[in-house]
Amino acid sequence: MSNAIARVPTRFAKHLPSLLSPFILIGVWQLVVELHLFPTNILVPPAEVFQTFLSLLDDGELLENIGASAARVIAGFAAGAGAGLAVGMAMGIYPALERTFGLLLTILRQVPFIAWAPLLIVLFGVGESFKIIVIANAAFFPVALSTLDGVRSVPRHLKDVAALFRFDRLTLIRQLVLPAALPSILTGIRLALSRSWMIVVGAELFAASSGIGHMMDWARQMFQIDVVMVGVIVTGVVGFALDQLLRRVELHFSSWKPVTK
Amino acid sequence: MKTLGKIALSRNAQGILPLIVLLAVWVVAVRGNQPGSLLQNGSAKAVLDTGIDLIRSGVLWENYRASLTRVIIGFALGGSLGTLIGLLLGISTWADRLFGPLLTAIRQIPIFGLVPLLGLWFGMGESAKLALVALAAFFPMALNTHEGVRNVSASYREVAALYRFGLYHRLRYVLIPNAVPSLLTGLKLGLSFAWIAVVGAELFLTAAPGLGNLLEAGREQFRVDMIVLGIVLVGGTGWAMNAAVTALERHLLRWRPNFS
Repeated sequence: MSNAIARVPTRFAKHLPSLLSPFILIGVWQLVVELHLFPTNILVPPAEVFQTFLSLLDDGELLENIGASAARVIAGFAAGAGAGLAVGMAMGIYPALERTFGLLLTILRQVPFIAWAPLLIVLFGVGESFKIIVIANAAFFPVALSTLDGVRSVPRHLKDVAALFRFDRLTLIRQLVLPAALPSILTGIRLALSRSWMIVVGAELFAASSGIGHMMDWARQMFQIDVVMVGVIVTGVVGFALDQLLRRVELHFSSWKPVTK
Repeated sequence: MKTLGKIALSRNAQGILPLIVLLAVWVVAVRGNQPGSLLQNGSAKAVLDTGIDLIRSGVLWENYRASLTRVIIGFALGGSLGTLIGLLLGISTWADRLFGPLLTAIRQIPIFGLVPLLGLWFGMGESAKLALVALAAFFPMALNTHEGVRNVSASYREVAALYRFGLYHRLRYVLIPNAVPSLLTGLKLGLSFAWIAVVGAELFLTAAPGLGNLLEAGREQFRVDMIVLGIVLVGGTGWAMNAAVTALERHLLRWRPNFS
């Protein structure tokens, strides 16, 4: 039986188990509930969590909170990734800049975003600017490093051709450096965006009046485990969707590359 | 003269320049500020004094040791479970197809998004902290072990099949040795995630000794000096763990051609 399925090389058969896996998770979840291993107010049955999801969706609370978190991610990510792109590009094109500021960047990069948070709170208060700066800080490094990497790995002979044609700086960037570094930059952007999503939830745990992290933290204090579980699932699904979307984009723009692993 | 200048501006020396400038700005900027102001609080001298104070009183070591203990226990729990699950998924195609996508999906849950749930399930104390750290270590370890075992080349598998290796011999002589580079990547990522989770857990869950606690206390009392000390220790330890695994990598993978 299992061999018969394995032998049919259709896409459907290949993807069937992956499509099944969410149902397995829900099945196991329901089973554990049925076995009464934990009280239902600790492990809420899936159907009940789904009900909560629907009612949160219905009264607009869920979308409102997702929107608030998404707005923070967009603002912080745009600032951090933009700065990262500029810095990575500049350091890649002018090696002197990299020699001068490379060490400083390496040192700053060692500190995880979460350790910056208390300092930023003291400096900016726990308001909106703190959250956006934490996200920007976290989005900056992956983009800066992967841009630098991409620019540095532009093949020597292409640079020679560009020099031969006497490309000016702008043409050089637009015609050669940017296209050549694009796959690497996109990888950095994907990492930065999924990290931003991870961080916004953390930043909202410190203090917030809106956002998905705030919704979960508030529900925790009210002992509404169903709402917390909806929050966990929703943040996971959003993170997954962002990652998949950017993987597609990455694949699309690097399809010309000969062999990529 | 020219060569002297060149030496002074050699690769490393040039990188140190901005650090010196920053340090100088740090020292100078505080002058003329009111005592007790944020800048005065976070001056280089204040950081140094507080550092010496906290070392002498043993407070620093107490907090540092607590965080280190958490990262070790949490990583041991999550990392070993992750390795086992990764091996299982790597060995069994069916387990891979059924649970592989699930693992990838669950991994996308932001780690700090789990804080409220773990807080409710385990209470806001030590077990929730360890659970968070273990989860943070689990995913990179599981995914990289899985990838390492899955990517063992077919010819090695065929040789193992030819010799009718049992599961133990396949693991011992074929799968695990070939997965070492991936396992090390998992170790590196898992340790750094676990370390971030330790600091986050200490900040978000109930206060107990730890570097996160030092940071949190600094935040509450507007003591920038304590925060800066915390940041340096967190960053430095993360760097040291990474360097240790890289050194292990160099040693274990020295047989590889052009491994740098």
